[in-house]
Amino acid sequence: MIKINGVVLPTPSDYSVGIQDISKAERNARGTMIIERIATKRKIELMWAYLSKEDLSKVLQYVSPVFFQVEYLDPLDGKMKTGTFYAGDRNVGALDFIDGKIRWKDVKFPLVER
Amino acid sequence: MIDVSGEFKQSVYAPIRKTAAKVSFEILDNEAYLDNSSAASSEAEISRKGQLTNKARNMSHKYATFEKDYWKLDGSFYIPPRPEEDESELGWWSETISDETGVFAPSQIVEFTFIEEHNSMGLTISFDSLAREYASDFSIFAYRSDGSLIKRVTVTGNSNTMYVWKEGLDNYQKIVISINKWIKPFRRARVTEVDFGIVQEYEGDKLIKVNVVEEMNVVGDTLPSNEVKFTIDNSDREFNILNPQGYYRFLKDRQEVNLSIGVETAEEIFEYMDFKKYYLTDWQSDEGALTTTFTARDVFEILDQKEYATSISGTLYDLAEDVLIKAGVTDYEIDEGLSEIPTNGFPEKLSARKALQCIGIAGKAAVYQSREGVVTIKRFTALDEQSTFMVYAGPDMFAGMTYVAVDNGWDMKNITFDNVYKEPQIRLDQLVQSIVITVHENGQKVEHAFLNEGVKEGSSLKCDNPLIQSVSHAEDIAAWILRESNLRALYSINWRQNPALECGDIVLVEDSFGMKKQSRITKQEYEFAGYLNGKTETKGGV
Repeated sequence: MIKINGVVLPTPSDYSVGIQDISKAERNARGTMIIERIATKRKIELMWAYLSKEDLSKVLQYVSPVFFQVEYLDPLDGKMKTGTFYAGDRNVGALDFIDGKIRWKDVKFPLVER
Repeated sequence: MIDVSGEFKQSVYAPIRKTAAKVSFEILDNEAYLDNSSAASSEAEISRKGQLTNKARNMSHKYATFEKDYWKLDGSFYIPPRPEEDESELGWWSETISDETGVFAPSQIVEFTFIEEHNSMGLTISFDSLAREYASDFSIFAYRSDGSLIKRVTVTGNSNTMYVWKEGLDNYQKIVISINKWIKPFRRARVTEVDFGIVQEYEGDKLIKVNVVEEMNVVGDTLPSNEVKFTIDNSDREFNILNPQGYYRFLKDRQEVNLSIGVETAEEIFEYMDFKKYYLTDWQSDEGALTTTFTARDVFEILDQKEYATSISGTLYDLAEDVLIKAGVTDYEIDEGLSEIPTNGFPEKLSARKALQCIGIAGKAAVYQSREGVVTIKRFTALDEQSTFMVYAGPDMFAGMTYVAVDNGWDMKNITFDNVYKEPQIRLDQLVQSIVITVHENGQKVEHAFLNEGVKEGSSLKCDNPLIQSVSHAEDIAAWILRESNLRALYSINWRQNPALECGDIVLVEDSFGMKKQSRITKQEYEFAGYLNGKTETKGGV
């Protein structure tokens, strides 16, 4: 479903794609809005309800470079697309801590197109 | 105004629009182009090896030959011209044809030798971009004068019609290109251009911002030089002064810069307007060194440093041509009207830029560089209702089977409130009461004053131009300058900008009284930083 630098990620529990128009909008001398479209970018919100320790470590390492290539399913045409992205804040919750071993839940972060 | 498509006209003033810009600039050793001599292992009859270093990187057409499975009868191929028949661009074509696997036996060699040693940031080879064909396997060698090899590169599996060898080459005196294999079987090797350096192109994420200033003065009291300033992403530190692998040491004055600003006419399809032939004058790494800013100006900056010492007499047309040719300008257009004005030329030496300015005033013409990079000396008609599109009846109007002859750029030349951010600012230029013109006749200078009829108070202009050599000529110039000075309304418009509009174009500027005054564009400023906006200054009647 989603690849980072060619490596398939575990299928996320939540996958939402935001389509963001980057624009400069200003009103003209008649008071009507005119828009200069700069670009249209994607923001992909990913969430895994549960990830093993190994998978979590891999996922976090994949998104640790400043920029990376992401191949994702784009809702606009339903096809796979590739773009350069960076990762937003990574949040990981603890499920439990038993016998000195921690298990992780609710792993989530956004991928923002460069 | 630049001719544009109907889609461009719709898109440029659309409520939502998308624009783009791209800059290409040369990092070339320009002296190597003048200093080289070339040889080839074989050459077809239609080949024009002398065109290999003329900076034309595309052939004029796809040319029909009897190479197997090459000439398609779809109308896209042209019969090759005979040698010396015309100026068509063909470049070098080998006589030898590749075998069924595309291999040349023996390898086809193109060799350049130089009198002086040269340094460049690598080498660029342009194959045949129109036919989408290229060498797949080849080698390039750079040698010193003593025959020792400086550097070589062996390329296998090339998949592009242009190959860029990005490598600092110092003190070379011979370059050898050895083509071993062509991308298709049974083909001649074809090279359109070999550049001694590289041509960098920046757009999208790499181009941070661009600023263009175009200026033209119809009366010619100044001869401004247009300027392009652009900032690129330098996070890879290619342009850092201290980077030994970087471009910095190969940057030289007068490298050619070309800019294009485009408007999206369909999804991700842009129609570009070109701003050609600017020359690099300054470059600097910005604070933090993550960006680098370059400044380039048009040919008038160079002409300022060229001296015009030995003048000719004849007509202003002859004189203008002589100034341009002696300054090394090959692309120029001179108004035929200048051939009706006799002149004895300049009594003293002066800069080529100043000479052109004097010719402009004496010929009642504006001097400027066109968007195509052509130095243009052109007379503009007086700004009045009869000479412009004010008589236009409406868009696409038919009268039976006959089209009404109209200015087809009418819809583009309306600067309305729909596209301006604030109401245009209008101020009045000073009123001119008189002009004093110095007439240079028989080695004497005599001042003659001419009054602006009907104006009782105002400033006085002075004009001392060595090409005004008779009282009648002075009278004619005075009438022209005074007529232009009566157009005193100076409009300043902050708006979305339209890259198809040029200085000299007559536009209609809307004001808050519902009037649309016509005025002539004197200055265009474009700012691109992901989106386009800018400022237009015009001059017209009140």
